[in-house]
Amino acid sequence: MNFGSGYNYIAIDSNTAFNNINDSLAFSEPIRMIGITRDDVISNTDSLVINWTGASAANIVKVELSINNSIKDSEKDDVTDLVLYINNAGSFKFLPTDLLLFEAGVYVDIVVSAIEVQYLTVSSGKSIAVLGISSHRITIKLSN
Amino acid sequence: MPSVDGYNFYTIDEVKQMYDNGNLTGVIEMETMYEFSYTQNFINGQYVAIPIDGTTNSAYAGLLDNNSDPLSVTDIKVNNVI
Repeated sequence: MNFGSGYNYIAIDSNTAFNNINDSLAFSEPIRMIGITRDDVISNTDSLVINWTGASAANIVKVELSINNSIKDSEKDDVTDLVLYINNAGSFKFLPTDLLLFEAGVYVDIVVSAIEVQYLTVSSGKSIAVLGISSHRITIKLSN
Repeated sequence: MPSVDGYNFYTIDEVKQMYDNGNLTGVIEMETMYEFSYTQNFINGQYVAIPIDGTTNSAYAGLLDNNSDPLSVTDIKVNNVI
């Protein structure tokens, strides 16, 4: 998949709804978090500021915090997941009240995803929405 | 855009409405995940994974026929450049 440079080619054969299409489209630079490194230890009594680059200012950004079950220290089965869709401002801040939802000592995945939409018009006059979604995940550890 | 505890954010339904121009016959989702991939669909339909080159990228599609019923999407190719 091409984000930031190059084109993505889409071909759909004729079907009962519209004639065949052959088209291409480009997406903006993929989103990348900055200032956070894998295995960083963050106190769950502090705020967590997430900054990122890439993506268009017009993109919607999905910001997610979730427990990384694959390397989870805790034996508990609790599942905590915070998901927000926001305008792309290049940063977001989780407050201590958010981080305290997670047990201290667990590993948490931070995932940011930029969602960009473009449209292909088909022979019926209707359109196909093409969503270009670039994501970046970094796993950190929460302490108390 | 609702606001809770100082956050301004969209609900998933609001996000769908932003991308639905009212004249959709399908959605194609093209993802690139730095480290990991996930799936996220925006309209009801018959979604299929589309084979493409590369292991860290994914593409999915869902199309609707003229009655807004799921349409076969087996004949769709993304970046299938030989």
